Amino acid sequence: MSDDREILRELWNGQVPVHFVLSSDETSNMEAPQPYFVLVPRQTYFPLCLDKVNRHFQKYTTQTAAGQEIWLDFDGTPLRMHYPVGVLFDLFAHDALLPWTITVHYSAFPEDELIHLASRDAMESYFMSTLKEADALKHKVTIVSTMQKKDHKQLWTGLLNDRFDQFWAINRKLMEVSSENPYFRYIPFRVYQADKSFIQKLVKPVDEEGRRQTLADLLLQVFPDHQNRKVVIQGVKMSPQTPLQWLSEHFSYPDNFIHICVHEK
Amino acid sequence: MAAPGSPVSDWKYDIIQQIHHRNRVESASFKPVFDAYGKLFEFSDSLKAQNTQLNLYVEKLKEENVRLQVSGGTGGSSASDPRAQERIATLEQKLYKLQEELTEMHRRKGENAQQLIDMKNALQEKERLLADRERRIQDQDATIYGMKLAIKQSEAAVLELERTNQLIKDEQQALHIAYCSMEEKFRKMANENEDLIQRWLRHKADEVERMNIETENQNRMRQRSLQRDIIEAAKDPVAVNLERLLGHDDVPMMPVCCVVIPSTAQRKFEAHDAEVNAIRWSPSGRFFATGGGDRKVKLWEPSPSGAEPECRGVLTGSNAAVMAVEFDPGETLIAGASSDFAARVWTLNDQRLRHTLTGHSGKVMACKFFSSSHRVVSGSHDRTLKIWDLRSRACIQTIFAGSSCNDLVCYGSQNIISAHFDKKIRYWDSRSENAVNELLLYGKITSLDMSPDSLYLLACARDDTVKLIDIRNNQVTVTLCADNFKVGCDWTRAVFSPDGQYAMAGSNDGTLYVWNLKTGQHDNVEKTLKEHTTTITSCSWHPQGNQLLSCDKNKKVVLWSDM
Amino acid sequence: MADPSEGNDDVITAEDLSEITGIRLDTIDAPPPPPAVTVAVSVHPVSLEEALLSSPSTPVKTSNLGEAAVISPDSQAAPSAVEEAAGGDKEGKVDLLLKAVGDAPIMKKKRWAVDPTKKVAWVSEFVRKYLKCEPQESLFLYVNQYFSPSPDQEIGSLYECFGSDGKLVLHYCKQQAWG
Repeated sequence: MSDDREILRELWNGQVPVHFVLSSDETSNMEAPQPYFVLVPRQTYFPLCLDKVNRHFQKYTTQTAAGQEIWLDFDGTPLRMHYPVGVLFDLFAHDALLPWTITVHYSAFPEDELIHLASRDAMESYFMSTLKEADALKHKVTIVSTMQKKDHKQLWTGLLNDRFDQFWAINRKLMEVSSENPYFRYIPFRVYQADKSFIQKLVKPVDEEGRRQTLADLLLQVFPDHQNRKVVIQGVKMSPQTPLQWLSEHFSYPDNFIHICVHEK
Repeated sequence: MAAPGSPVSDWKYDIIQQIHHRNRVESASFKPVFDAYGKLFEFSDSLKAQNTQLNLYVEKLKEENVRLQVSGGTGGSSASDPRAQERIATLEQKLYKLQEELTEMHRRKGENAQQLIDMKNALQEKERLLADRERRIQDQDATIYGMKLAIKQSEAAVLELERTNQLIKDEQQALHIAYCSMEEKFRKMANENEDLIQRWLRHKADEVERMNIETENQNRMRQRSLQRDIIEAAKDPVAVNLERLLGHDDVPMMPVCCVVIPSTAQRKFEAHDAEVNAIRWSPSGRFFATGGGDRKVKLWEPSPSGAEPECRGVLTGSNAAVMAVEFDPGETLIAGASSDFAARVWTLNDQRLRHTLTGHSGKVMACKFFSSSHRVVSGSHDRTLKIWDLRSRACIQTIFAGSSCNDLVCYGSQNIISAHFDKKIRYWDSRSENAVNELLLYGKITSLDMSPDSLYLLACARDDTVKLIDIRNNQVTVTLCADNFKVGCDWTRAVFSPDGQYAMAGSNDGTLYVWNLKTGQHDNVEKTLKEHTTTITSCSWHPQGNQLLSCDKNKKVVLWSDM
Repeated sequence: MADPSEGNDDVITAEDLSEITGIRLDTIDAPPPPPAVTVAVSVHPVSLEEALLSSPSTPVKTSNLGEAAVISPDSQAAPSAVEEAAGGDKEGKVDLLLKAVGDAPIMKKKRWAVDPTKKVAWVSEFVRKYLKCEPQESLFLYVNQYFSPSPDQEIGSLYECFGSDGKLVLHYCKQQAWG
């Protein structure tokens, strides 16, 4: 399956160009702050790659803003930094001009919309929880709980340091299916729409008659209205005929969920 | 990449194309620019930092410049002479330098002082540590010294032990050698002994042979002379006097042993005023004697007609119950053992007390004539046996038996056998102090009797058995007992019949038991005679074997006879 | 978002908001609320989104919200309000069972009927209030005694994926219990 391996690696290598600007509310002096450009991996989370951005903008901020938690918005929408970067990009900036311009804020944290996840530890525990949720959906007997602590750490550091091989050495165990049981119990997925909270349902990779379910079957369960929608996963406009099991094994984000972004046409 | 055409790889191919497209659009096209931007950003950052530093430096230089100008201005106004000015300037500079040096010195002094204090503290600390260490070293030295001493002592002890060990080993070796040689000697002796026995047996056989030949010769000679006499006698006729023949009838006959166990009690009579402890036929069988709890010894003569025996004499002198009586073999003396710690000897013909043998410290249970009529041996509760010489009227030997003596018998000229309270039979040789042999039975032994052939011993014990003991090998050959046979007291006597074929003893229920010794271990009760109503203490068998006597605790004596 | 029966939604949201807004008013000492939607946005963390989302379709809600905000603050009223609602009308609600783990205090009432559009964060906040947690104390919720649900996940979808026997069991504790 060299194709599949190539897909995994290419997906991992995906990066989005980001143009960070400091919000005009934050500037302390007359000098206009310099923007900051960086390529951010799609698989990672914003809190893991904001160190340099933070350092760059701190010198322009007011005294009161110093030391406060950083948060981002795009086009006036606060970005939920606990979603993978790729999801946020596909959801909000799919049609935007590149590079993706994101505004950096320090003050007036929108408590009601965002979760405090700026610290690495909080991010790690959120990531591991999501991973375990996916594990619980996929397997009757959960696999993460049987792993050793160092395997958990290896998953996390693989993601943190953008090491494909290190991450997949462990993640492979979570994605494996045996020949006698070639399907997951349920497909872990979340469907996102721009202005609503995500949808999560129980969907099996095969139906009662043993037929393989495709993306189209999944969408039908989520949106029973047959309306035509544009479906983007990992930045790819996905064909409805793609089998779900394959999709879960290859198009899941590091947290083992397929994050599906849906745009109304 | 999979071949196009198959539907599965089609969508996969499409996906891969899309991903490639995505990466191309989103990152590949931006990568060089962003990389370059990153480098430039860092470069500009470092340049900025450098610039700031340089600015600072310039500021400092400017300040210095101003200061120098000011100092130069003041110097110029006070002194007109440029040389002086110059000198002043150099002096000021020197002064300034010196002041600076002074400040430096002060600072250093302060530092040094601080250092000194620190060092002092450190030194004190170190000294304390050192003292501590030294103290510990001293302690350790002391311990080491003590341990060395201990080691030395231990070594000495070990040496001592080794030496002792060596000594013991040597001794053991010597002993072993001695033992080996002894064993060798023993084996030689055994061989010699065997040889001697063989020779002795041969001699014996020869002797028997010779004796037989001699006897045969004598018989032949006697027969020949008899024949000659008969022939001679037949030559002259003789008138036979019948009267004279008949008149010889009342000449006392020599005792002929013909043992018949009587089955009827011919007579039963009261012999004493208290219990009868002892009874004994005289060796000829003409009299019998009884000893009673009334402190008397009585002599009786059974009447030939079967009437009650007549009392021929009452022998007094005892201060307590008489426990045993005994005739001497020549039937001239009678001895009695008494609970008053003494044994006494009377003469039969005048019935006078001849000897009172005092010296025991306990009641005397038995006394017997020994080897000849002028010696008596007595056994007492004071755990001694004493041998008395009647001619010198003195105790000539005391044997410390170790346990109360209940009965004793003598045989041969020197040997005594005693029966004891501690269940033992002891064999004594009057020539030696200690017991020659002993035999442990299962109960207190109450009596002993010697068989006529002096080969067997009859012992009655409180475990309600009578044992037949072979003296030669000192082993019990037959145990006599019966279901209702109970030994009634510590001086119950059991006796042999005159031919040694039977044994007799009385039970505490008044039954007299007679056992046949030839029938073996089982079913050997020959006869039971029941006349007494209470415990039989003693019994005696008539020397001719056809009459029995028994006495009980209820003053009664029974004469058993079938005639 | 799927539209559940509007009446139910109204009652719960209103009373719930009344309580929480009340607290907020109390703590920040704010003047009586300006137009309800904006107040909700600025003070109420969880219901903000709902308010935003539902405001166009249900203008009635805004007035409800306004009235509710005026009601005097009473933090103890929160559980009873929900309980009442739970007892009153269970249709379309998720039956939620809250269980203590470790040394976490036990809730007197464990079963709650909760609007399916409520988020996990709302439940978490509700439990914190109920147990009177200090602000610096942390509270963890667990599903299947295995993972913590995402705070912005809706209770309805969580129930659909992990509910059993007609109810959703959430374990809560004050220390991290599972990974």
